[in-house]
Amino acid sequence: MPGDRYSALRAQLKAFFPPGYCRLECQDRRQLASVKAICAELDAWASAHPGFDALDLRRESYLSMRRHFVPILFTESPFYCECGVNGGWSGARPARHVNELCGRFYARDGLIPKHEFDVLYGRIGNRFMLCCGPFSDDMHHLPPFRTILKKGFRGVRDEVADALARCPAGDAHGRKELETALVGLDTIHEIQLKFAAEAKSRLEHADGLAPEQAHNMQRIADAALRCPWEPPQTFYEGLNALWFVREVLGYVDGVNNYALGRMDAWLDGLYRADLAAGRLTREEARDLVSRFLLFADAHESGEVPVHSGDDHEPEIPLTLGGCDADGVPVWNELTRLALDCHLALDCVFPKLHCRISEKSPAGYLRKIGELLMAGHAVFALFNDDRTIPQFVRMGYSVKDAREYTCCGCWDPGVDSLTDMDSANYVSVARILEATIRRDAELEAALELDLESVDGKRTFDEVRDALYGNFIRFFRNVMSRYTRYGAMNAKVFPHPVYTMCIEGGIASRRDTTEGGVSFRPRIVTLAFLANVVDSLCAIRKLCFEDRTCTLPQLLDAVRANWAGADGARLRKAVLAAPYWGDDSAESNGLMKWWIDRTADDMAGMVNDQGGPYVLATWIYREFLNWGACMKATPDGRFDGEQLAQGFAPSELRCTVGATTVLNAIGSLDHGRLYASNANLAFEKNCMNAEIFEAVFRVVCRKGMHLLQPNCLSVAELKDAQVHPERHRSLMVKICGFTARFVSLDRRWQNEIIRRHLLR
Amino acid sequence: MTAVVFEIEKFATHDGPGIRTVVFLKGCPLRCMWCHSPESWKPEMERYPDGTVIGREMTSDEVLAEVLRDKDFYDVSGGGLTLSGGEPLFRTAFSAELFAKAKGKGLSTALETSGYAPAAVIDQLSAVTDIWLYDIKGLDSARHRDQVKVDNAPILRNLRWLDAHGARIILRCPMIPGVNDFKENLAALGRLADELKCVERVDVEPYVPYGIDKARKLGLKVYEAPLPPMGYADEIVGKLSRLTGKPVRLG
Repeated sequence: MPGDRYSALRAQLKAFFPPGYCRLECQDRRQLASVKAICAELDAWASAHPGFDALDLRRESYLSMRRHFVPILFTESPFYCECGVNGGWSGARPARHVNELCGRFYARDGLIPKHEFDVLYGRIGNRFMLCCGPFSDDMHHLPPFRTILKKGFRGVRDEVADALARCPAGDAHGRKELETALVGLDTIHEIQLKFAAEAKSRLEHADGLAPEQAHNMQRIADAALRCPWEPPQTFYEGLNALWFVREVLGYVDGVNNYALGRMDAWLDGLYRADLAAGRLTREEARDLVSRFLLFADAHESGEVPVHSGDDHEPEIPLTLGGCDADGVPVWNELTRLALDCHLALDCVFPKLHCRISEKSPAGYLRKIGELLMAGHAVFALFNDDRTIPQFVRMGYSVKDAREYTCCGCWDPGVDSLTDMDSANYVSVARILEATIRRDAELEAALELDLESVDGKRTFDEVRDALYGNFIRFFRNVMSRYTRYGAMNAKVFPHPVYTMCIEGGIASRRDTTEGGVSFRPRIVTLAFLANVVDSLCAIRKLCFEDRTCTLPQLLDAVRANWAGADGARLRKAVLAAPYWGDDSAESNGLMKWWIDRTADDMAGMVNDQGGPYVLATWIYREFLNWGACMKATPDGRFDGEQLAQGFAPSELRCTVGATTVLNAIGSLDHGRLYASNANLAFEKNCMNAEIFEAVFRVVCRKGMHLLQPNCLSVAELKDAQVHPERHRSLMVKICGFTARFVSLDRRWQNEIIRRHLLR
Repeated sequence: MTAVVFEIEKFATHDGPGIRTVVFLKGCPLRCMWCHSPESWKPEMERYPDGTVIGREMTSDEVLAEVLRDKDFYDVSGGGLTLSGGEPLFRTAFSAELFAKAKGKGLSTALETSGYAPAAVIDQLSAVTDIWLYDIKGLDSARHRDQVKVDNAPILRNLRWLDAHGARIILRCPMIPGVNDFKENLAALGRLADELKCVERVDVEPYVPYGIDKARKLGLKVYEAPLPPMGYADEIVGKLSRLTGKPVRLG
């Protein structure tokens, strides 16, 4: 938006985050030199100390960062936090280099047999599983916001020092964890002070600084002397602390923290105190919030077309609304500011993760509806009525549960208490495909004998055989994840992060060793709708109507529905019940599968000693994995897309909004940790009040999450022809939002094909 | 009691307040020249030439059970059941029974009607109808007889009776280019809306040519009006808004 009040800030940020930066190293010359210097020092140190362990190298990295860290400031911004981490997916950075050097331990120490790597990354990774990182997701951790807002990094350091003083002499490993964390925490302090010194230096060489720029540098020079080493005392410091915590832990420990916390819930006290004391005007607050949001939005690169994966997704979710620790609804001036500014500034990022409940204030829900009607589909809506009781059942206090935050695309967690890991996807549809086509290579790799369904004589036998194949695959793979994930402690420890999470200091054990209190690992079941639809079709055609035999149907599937018989059978398949039609058949099958899986995985222990928990979402793989999957009995042709989360298959759905929501609401969502319904509503049918009602129903029905789009096909098609007229039109793809006009044609067409609920 | 239902539309957001389910009954005494649902004219079930059956005989309990599946949506939005057609007053007993049962379940009831019925029918339905979506297709008697094939006198008489008895009324005015969108009709509509104290709003419903193919398949004929030009609906809303003190919106 050239010419607007923030064009200078946008220009500065855009220069630092160039198009495609997600795949690039940090482009700042000084920062890049710093990273290279640190990596070179670590290489040299590792060569000189061949017997080192991961904590040794982590400690050296902290010391090297202290020497070489270069603060990056933007004169148009009052915030100091940029460490060159560059979001979730990018390349060189010191902490990741530590991981790479320690990754050699897998082979050096025989932590994981080579053939297991081949199995898990080659065969299994090939469309069966998605796991972000070698058995550990280093991206979806939840920053310990509340810890730092409450006691600052210094408070954490004091507690670590105290624990070290009381550490039993015999616990050498615990002592080393604490000592290493102390070095890391002091490094964070040094980094903070470097920002202050840099700002001071800019002021001392202030030629060319406009008054507002000088004001920004002065604020930084003053604030960075104390915060967030000390807790924030003003709204401005609080805002900065959210960014600082997120970035600095990604820098020092390599735990890529996506979330940006709960600005409205956690900073409202500071905001109101500033207003009351005359330290802040509402206009100044709007300006701060705008610059806070624009820092996130600068990570978006509208110039880079979205093709398949990482090119567009820096993952920065801001959580709004919900309730505070006492259960009081959060719908305050800051919530309104964030929503208003996000729209006014035409931001894509941060993603807005709005917590809602059946009792949410009408104004709040309607405001979300207004933004959706304006083509600003940047929301994931989390249901407090489902999520808070769920966290209480997991052992969190009610007050902590009410403070939950959303940390990735759609994964809730309680910051400062939980070490999250949330991106293990299991393709249930792929098991169906492997069962129909007998995947010998997979069976050999996993020593797994897939049971054929061809000769089954009843529907229950078919269903049970398929489920049996799935659950044996699931257990097989997850047991490997548990076994080999436990090696993370020897490779990827995060001492500073650990000390900021409850349980870390007391246990003196890293999060990777299970040292913190809550450590669920989420496993998501992908494409269940396709499997349910397939089973519905098999039951209808082969065991109820006797349209064909099971082998005949499966042969038609194997032949990609070719020929007259294939076409005839496919037509019959498409007339069978399907997930989303709210029929007893499809609802019952979906419920059966989820309940069975939840029962069967109960008691499975993850690599950190916590539970595996179940979810049902999927990222871009519904298109990408669909493209390389053969036909399925739900009528899919080879290569066609798969279904998303609890949304019905786009290939099947013809029913309306209430029917789909009733179907999803028929499930016992309490069996799941999280789930997603990515649903598109027809714009002509909607207004803010109708959205308010839909949101309340979503909560009443106990769903976890709704990602709404509000679309008009005519508008989308016009945007393809005249993109210049529709730059602000935003759509929710799966876990992320993008400008519709920045999507490549394949993704644009996928959006246009979506069944619009009306 | 049964009636032939030819469509049940869920998540209806333009047919009464909130989120509603609209149940369309077959059977209509009017023959609007622009009708977009000529398959609703005959009261009994029938078939298209390809064998597709139009309508299904349903009891009021069956209809109600289907409607109640969306009760959560009505509860949070102030919505409920809307009966439409065809002409639901043509099925007086069924409509009254269904509405009575719906109200017994706490549902809001809305009747979308031409108002063409004996006074006693209006009286009977008014006891169980929360809001009347009252079609006014034209106020000139001669034109009305020509275009709709019935007299508009009983329609207007029933409307005034409802107004006198405090019914909630929304006027729904189909606008057919070149047929009833002339200024005298708009002015008369404006006067009517102002005259009736219980009319809450006027909804303008621009012409849609949905009936043409269906009529052709059934061997019927409906008038194919020229498609309204871009901005037509907003223009009519603007004109009517200047002619009445009641709110006017696009229906």
